[in-house]
Amino acid sequence: MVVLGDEDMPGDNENIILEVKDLKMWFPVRKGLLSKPEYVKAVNNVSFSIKKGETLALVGESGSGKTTLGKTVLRLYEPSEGSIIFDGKDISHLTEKELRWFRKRAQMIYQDPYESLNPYYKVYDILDEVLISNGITDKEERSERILSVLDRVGLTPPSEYIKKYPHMLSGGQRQRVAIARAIILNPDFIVADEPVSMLDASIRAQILYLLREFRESYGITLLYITHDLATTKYFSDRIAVMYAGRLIEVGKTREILGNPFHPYTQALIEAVPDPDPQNRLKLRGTPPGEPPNLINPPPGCPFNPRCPKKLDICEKEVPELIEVSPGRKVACHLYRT
Amino acid sequence: MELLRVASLSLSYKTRKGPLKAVNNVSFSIKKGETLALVGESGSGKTSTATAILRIVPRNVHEFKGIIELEGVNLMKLSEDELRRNIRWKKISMVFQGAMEALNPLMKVGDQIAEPLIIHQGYHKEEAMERVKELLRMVGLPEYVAERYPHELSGGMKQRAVISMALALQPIIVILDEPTSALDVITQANLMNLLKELKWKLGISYIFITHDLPLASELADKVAVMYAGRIVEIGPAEQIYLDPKHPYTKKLIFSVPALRMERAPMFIPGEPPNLINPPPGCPFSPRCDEKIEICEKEVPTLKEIDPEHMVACWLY
Repeated sequence: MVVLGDEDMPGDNENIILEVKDLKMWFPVRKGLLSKPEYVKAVNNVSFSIKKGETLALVGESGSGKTTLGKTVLRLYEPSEGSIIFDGKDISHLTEKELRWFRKRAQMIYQDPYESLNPYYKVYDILDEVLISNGITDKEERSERILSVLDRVGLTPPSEYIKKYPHMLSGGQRQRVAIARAIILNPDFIVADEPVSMLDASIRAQILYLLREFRESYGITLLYITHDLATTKYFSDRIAVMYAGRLIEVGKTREILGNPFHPYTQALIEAVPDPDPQNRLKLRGTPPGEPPNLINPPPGCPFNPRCPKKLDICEKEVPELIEVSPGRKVACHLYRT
Repeated sequence: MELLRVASLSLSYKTRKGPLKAVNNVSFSIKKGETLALVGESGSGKTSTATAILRIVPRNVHEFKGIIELEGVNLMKLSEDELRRNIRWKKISMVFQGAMEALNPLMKVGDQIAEPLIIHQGYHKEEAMERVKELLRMVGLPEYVAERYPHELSGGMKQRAVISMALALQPIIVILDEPTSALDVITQANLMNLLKELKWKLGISYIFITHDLPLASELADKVAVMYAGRIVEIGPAEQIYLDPKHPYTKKLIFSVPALRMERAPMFIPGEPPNLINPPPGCPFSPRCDEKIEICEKEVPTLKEIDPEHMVACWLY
């Protein structure tokens, strides 16, 4: 049995931009004044790494902890336990002041372009604010960078967009502004949290192609958080599947989609319809129930109450994420050797 | 015979900038037990079409005209009172988008399902609760759900409860407006399974409103593609999915990444037009890469190109 270690071959470490080890992000909740605190275990013992220039899709349902994981690796939260190593430096418990270099190099794109842009700022000022707060004092340089970044995200001609307020833009245009804000400081790493789920179908692919282009031409590393498996097929290199705060399967995109090992991954794939008129004639073999609550998850494997293949041990022991073939890991008792 | 026939339906709203044509000359029909998917992007007029059928239109209506014929009766000719007493909820009901978040948080779920039965149908409390249990079973919920408050239920359970309300008076048509939009994929798949079973068992017709073409294929016998307030293509599901004709339909189908098919998603450049000042000619012409000269001048009307398959495009 190979216990989870580095994602890659030994000696390949310099290519790893982000490494997360045994990460826990637990939020305390108190039910009463005198009761013991309980915890929402949003991220529970998660380990993974991302190589430079790679796109890792973090897939899971709402409440699986994927957004919390994304925000924790960006140090928008301070982790409860475990470590986050970015470009060789442990950033798990740095202060905001010590994180200043990291804030320039790592950015986030949020799900809802209607809420993530300040409605009182014009597009120019939204972008200018980022530059000013990062110490770029030369006004002309800022203006040049703003016009050039708008051009890069396809808001052309830029002069037409700089004077607009967010409400004057469509959803797709707003998300382009959000992307411009994320890339204007030339970051190495971006966490994109459901960047297209609020957009119309015809616009989604545009935005995903844009993100892919940045990866290809600037080598930006991307953590692409999504519930939409179909998009991962075209826009990610590897997939990490999350369930109830834990990673349950990690591997190359094609391998996971073509041959999922974990019963939960299998269910997720089964649940996704393709545009096929035959669909209406048959039922889908999806498991009943919904994900557990994260305060008191069931003992053993979090998926066991819904799992069609569960064994006795599944109710007792949490399966570890183990490597079952090179680069392929699964946390399921069915694959214990 | 057609169960529902909609002909030349138009609905526009008054806005400060001028009238907004949300539904523009829309026509379609549904047979008993048949499901029509109304597919389109946001602002294409899907929900406005549905609310026009139930005549639950907002106050700022500018113009509302056309024919809505249910079992041969033109609903447009009925008074508000007749519509409320005989049609709405009894013949045609609707599951509104986000309805599960509109459940009353202070009232037990069972009482909320029973309320219309008691008020509108004159059920006694006990009779109504019996019917509630029956309805809950029908949507795959255990009876104890009747005693629970909405916050005690998961999203999937709440949505099932909302569907049971729409079924309470045994309608023949149920309009589903993005019924799974806030749910997770597996919960969504389970809910689609339920809707299929109800359709097979009860023979109801759905009008299924969604922006999600793959999801529409889970229920649709027939698909109408809407763009800028108009139906640009309508036909049997097989033809729309496997042999789409309108450039917009083609692009829309190929813009969705498919999990089991090998094809990279295409995208449609640009954005849908403004409905207050739509472009002259075909509303899709500014984004269409197959356009010809006439497309920018005249609006194409729906033409039958195969039995029951109609396209509004100058190429045909």
